[in-house]
Amino acid sequence: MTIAFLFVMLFGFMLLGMPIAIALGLSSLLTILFLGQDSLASLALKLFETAEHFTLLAIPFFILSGAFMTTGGVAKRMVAFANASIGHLRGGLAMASVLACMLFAAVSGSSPATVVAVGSIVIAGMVKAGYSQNFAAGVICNAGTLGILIPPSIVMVVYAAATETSVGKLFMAGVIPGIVLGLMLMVAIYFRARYLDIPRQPRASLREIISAGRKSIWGLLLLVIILGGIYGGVFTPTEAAGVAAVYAFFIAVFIYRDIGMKQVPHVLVDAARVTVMLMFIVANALLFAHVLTTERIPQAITEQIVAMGMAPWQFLIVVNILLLIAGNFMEPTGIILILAPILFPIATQLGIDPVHLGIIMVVNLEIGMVTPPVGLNLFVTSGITGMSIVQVVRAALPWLSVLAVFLVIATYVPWLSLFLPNLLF
Amino acid sequence: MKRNWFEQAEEGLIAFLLAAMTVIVFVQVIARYVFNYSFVWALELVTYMFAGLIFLGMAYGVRVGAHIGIDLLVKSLGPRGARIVGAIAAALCIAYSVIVLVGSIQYVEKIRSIGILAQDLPIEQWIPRLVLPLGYTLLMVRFAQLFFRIVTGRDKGLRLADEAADALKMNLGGDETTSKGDRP
Repeated sequence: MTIAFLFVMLFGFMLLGMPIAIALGLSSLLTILFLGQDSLASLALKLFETAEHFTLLAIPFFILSGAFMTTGGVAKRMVAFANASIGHLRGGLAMASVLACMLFAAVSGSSPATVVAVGSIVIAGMVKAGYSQNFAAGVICNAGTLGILIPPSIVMVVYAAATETSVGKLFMAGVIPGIVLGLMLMVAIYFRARYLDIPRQPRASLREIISAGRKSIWGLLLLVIILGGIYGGVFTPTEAAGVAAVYAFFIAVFIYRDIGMKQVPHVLVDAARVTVMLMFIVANALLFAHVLTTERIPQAITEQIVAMGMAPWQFLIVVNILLLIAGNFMEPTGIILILAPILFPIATQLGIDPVHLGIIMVVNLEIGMVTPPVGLNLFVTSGITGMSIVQVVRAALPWLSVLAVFLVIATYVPWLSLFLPNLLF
Repeated sequence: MKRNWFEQAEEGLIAFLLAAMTVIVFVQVIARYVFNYSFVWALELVTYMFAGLIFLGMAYGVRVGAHIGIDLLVKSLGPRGARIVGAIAAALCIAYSVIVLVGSIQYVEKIRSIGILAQDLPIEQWIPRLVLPLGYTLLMVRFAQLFFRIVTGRDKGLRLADEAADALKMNLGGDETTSKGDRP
């Protein structure tokens, strides 16, 4: 009854075109006012606690470091390096743009940012080299989703905060799956390119590769600092994010000199605006999750699932379907904060590792970003290519099947996600 | 559009808070390793600044249309229908702001009557919590403005963010600056 009230209101408010954050907040407030016992003051306390959540504090810093890395020519250098290393293979230019997406994902925690940064450089180049625009746009739209799988990832920080899982472990867990997905996309590109008989690029000399690598090394060091710092116990993930933001500022302004001090306030305002938007959703989604827990909804669902005797693999199918549907309608952060408190206790009961569950959720949300109607990557790709959304959907579809296959692998091969964190921690 | 002093101050404040938070965290890490010294108050200060950023930034987000939502239904309606739905949505947003505003006043009042000091900073705990009632007052005002603009036909509906457009803008801004930087 309560749960129906809550969710009906949530969807109703969202359909009216209210900001997602307020739809989440208002539906929780009304549910508590009419059906719960909490005082209004305690709800205000809940909202304020968002800011006191040490893990969530990493989000503004990752957004800021991503903003410095995106405004500069970091992506351009990474594309140059990727082209020099594998551009000569069959379909090499497209493979190199996947590699560039992987590299850029390692400095940015966002998927649409990755599509824009890499896509706005490589798509035109691929079309010039004889690829169809559909081919180029489809590859980038899908490869851009690596932004949230390869650390640092804002979505992972949110999952860590919602389930009290270690951010460091989650980041490490994303590395191998990220590389595997990148390689799978490259293999698919190779066969497609051979079939289409796309011409090769001339091979770059070793010196060119090294020189291009040297130029992009400053950007890539960011990930080394983050992962190395967390793993080595030098700092907490939140501090790592803060250090990364200062490092990114330093690189963009003093090393690459892509932006001057004059543009820094601009970058700050942009990053602050994105932070506010995201954290307003997070604060209200936490309120929503609080209502779920006080109404003991996760527990009720867990009991039912356990009573049904569902096997872990069956539960994971349900998880995937649920997330794929949710991913089509909502923004990843909100989904994680609503569904993680429900799915997490069930998964624990069934013996599924929380880190593995986190990776499964992230991969599902990646797919949500390339499927309509709320697939952010689709809109962004349409924005940089001038193609219509329908065209982009069609272009992205063949490559989406690679993501789907990868989802099955990531779901049923926990080793992929757990090997690195188990080895290191 | 020319912005008044308040709007500039609003923007300046959230940018400043983000910058200050970053610098404090960074300096704290450096101080710990290089000077073997920790500021005990740093974390608490950053936390309060984070609260300021979120809750004073919400209203700014409404003004610049930064908040995301689903506009599928609204877009499928005619201009008249969209205006009606927009007005209802704005009214509900006002209701949300008022409910939380009342709750946050009660909350701050309660903390003030208990009179506990902050853990490491020499201030009472209710003071940093003032950002809640303040922020929600601003939010309420912004939605009220938006509501009247929709009702009087000066605005078509809630201004939701186009996240895709934002991501694009951010990058294009970068391209401009890159070319500028390359010239000298």
